[in-house]
Amino acid sequence: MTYTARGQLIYPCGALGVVLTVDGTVKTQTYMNAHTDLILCLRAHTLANSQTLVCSGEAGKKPKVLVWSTGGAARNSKTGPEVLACLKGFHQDGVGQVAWALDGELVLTVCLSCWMDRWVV
Amino acid sequence: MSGFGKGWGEWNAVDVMLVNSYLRVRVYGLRKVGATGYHCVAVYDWRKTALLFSAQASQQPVLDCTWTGIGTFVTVGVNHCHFWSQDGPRAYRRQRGLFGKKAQPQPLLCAKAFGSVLLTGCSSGHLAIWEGRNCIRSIKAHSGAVTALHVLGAR
Repeated sequence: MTYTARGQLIYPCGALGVVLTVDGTVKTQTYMNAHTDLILCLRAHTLANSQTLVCSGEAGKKPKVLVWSTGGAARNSKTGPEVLACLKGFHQDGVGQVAWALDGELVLTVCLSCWMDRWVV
Repeated sequence: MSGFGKGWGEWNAVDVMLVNSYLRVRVYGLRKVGATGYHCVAVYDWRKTALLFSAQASQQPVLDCTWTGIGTFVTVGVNHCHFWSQDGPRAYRRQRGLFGKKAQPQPLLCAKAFGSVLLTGCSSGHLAIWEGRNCIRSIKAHSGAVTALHVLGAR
């Protein structure tokens, strides 16, 4: 899976999120290594200030959904990807799909299967 | 206690606690119909790390999801297309998409919003076009399954 935003390619490689910035003939990779299991899905959203946000979901029984910014969009910026939010606790199986709301404030996630909690008062 | 669990399948654990002089019993039960679990959807406000909404989506695999407007999203998958619309600050209502006579019920592999309509790629190679919750048209696009869609320009 590859997604482009502002000349950057974002793709998962195992549990590693890779941001490939191509600037002429110079290609640089930066990495987001906060996932602890295979990345199953990954989607990007570009904010009005041209910051690119990525949401990615992982496999496993206690999956994390991470929201991170790619960083380093400027030509000589050295900053790498930065994790902005870690969403976990609800899904109990791999997160197979994520989607960004149009304004970038909400994230929709879909997991592969689910156990139900029941409350009786 | 024995009356609670009808049709819930196996009970895995129970815990009991006293909250404001009420006895609260939490039952962890696996609700299973047949051999499949449910596929769940969740909506997060990621800036606050808050879970706004969660629900069972379907028993069939969900293959793609997309937001179609403010407060509306769609989940598509094997033999289904579900339209969700906001029904309160933390509630979304699900409506089944109706295939009608325009398209065969079949796995829908991808979905994209285009203006007021929704495009979905079907495993038969058709593009199904949805308006409201009805399939209004289907177009033969490829001889194989349509696995990816991208809309240029509109959004």
